[in-house]
Amino acid sequence: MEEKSKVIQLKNIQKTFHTKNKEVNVLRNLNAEFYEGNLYAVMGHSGNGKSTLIHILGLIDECDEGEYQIYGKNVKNLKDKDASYMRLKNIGFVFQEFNLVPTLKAYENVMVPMLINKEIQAKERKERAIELLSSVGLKERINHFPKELSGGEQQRVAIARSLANNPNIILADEPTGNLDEKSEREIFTLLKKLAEEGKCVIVVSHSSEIKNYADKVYILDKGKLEGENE
Amino acid sequence: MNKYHLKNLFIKITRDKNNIFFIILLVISTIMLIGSITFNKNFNEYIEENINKNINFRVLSVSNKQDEADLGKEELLSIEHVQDVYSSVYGTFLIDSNFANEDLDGKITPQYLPKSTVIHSLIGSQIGENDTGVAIIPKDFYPDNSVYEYNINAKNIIDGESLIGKEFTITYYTRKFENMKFVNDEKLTKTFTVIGVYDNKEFMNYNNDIFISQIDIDEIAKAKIPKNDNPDIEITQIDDYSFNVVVDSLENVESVTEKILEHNFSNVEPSMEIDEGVINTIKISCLVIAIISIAVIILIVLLYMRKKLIRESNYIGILRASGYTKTNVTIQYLFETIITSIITYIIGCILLILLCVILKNIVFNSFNYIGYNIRIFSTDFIIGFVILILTSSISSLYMIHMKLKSNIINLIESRE
Ligand SMILES: Nc1ncnc2c1ncn2[C@@H]1O[C@H](COP(=O)(O)OP(=O)(O)OP(=O)(O)O)[C@@H](O)[C@H]1O
Ligand SMILES: [Mg+2]
Repeated sequence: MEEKSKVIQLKNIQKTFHTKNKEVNVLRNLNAEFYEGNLYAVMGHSGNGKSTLIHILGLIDECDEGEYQIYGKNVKNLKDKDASYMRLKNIGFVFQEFNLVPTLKAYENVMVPMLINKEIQAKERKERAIELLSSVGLKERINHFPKELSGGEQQRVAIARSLANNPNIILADEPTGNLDEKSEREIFTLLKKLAEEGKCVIVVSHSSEIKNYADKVYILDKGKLEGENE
Repeated sequence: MNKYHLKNLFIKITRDKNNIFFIILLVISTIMLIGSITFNKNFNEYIEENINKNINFRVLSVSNKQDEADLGKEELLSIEHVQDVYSSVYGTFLIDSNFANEDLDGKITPQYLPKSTVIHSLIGSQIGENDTGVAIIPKDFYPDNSVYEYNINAKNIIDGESLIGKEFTITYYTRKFENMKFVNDEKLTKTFTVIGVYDNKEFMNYNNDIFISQIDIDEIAKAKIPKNDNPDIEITQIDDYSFNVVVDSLENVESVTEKILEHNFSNVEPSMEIDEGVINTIKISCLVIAIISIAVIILIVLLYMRKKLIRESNYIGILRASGYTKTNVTIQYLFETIITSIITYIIGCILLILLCVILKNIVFNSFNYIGYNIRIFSTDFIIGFVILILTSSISSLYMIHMKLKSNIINLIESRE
């Protein structure tokens, strides 16, 4: 694991939510490092802050205190425009809900994030979308609308979409929460394959099945990440 | 934004069934908007072309002075801005002509053309002051009694221009008073040569009104209105008819009216008057309809965008999470609105033009002969386009701006 390069560095991350009558200290002095080519599982009880961590990692939420670096570059307190650019270049999200556009075909859904990426030539986009769908095993389904696909297939379209701009970080928050066991194994296999191809894949899951795929399993408890067997 | 992105947006719009109802509503209000602008323009044009320029609005009807030898004609002519004075009996005779055939009864009405009156639509030559036996007939000539009911059958219209240089004959009877009633006396015929054609709409004339010289019209009038030799009975004489006083321009009508009254003439009245009240009501109605249409467009777009953005919240969240900036998202939705508006505009224009053509062919076809016509102006369509695009863009920009205030996580997690 040591020869792989470090993608994410978190130091003393603090996150507190303030509601009307109480404060929730979700993340407390959280430290972690994530490397290329690994699949990380993040587990823990409901309400422990797993989604919050994913949001902070994905730059769609901000931590209150601490340091956050991607490839050694500080990404804390970025302006919206810079944060958007970081997400475009480096981060792909997979959520529990597939969030596909019902009026767009599978390949058109995959193309959506590419439409603003100037580095992918306009006429290459469709080809690339079809390639990505093939790589998640949906070669035969490129022209299907979301409602014509099973849940597992829809999630694979969503994974293909998260790969649209070729990011190095894949953040999946309970990607199999809505799926049966067979589909779950397919999705985990796919995420594992991405890690093997060199991406840094972080998967939040309640299913212990993920342990069979993860290079490292973290437990989020009391606001900190701890290795399962440490 | 490039053509691939636009194509993607176009697909997104056309495949979304939610858009159909929105587009229908927007098309209706667009038609109302452009329709009211077009109608207003046509109406103004009609007033400009057919009313303000029309000689009838500067003709005053004035009672003559029976005690003077020339009935006061010279006195009226001496007033400044008076162009001509003639008897109102002219133009009241319906006379048979040899234009009669199985479709038309041949009835025509001779008209007097006041001195120094220019016929803008004249093709051929003007009638000289001492001419006789010459006539200027309507371009779309329809010598039939039914013109007064605007009941014109297009296939029976005679092409006036083809008659230039040709002769026609009118037949009329002198009248006498016998046994307490009028009877026809002597049959008279008179031959005219067509020397020109004119557009009768220019004078608000009917399609059987022909201009002849004053000498000829006087001759007909004298024959048709019998002289009274019996002082015991009172019948209407030529001298009993009032004068028509032609003022040189519309602006001088008021001052000339005052002057005529100063000269002790009575019953001075314009022979035709514009009802400013009705005109203003129509103009204001057009404006109100246009403003309502704009308000409706704004309202429809606001409500539609509100629903659409709620429906597509998680899509917007996904866009933001995959790297779209607020500006990217705004531009994307702005383009969607503009594309939708353009689709709406195209449908609206097609329907509106269709509507105009139908109205023109069915409803206004007969009105056409009195000068009312629908014309389509490209500027109205451009104005309509600009208003539609601007109002819908601004309305949707506002909605998008409000939507983008909520954070990305809330957007992604929101469900309808
Ligand atoms: N926007 C917010 N405002 C206030 N409290 C919040 C907010 N978001 C999350 N929380 C609180 O923070 C805590 C952590 O939430 P989070 O969603 O990260 O948990 P989780 O580990 O993902 O749970 P689950 O397994 O159920 O998804 C919870 O107690 C939640 O109520
Ligand atoms: Mg969660």
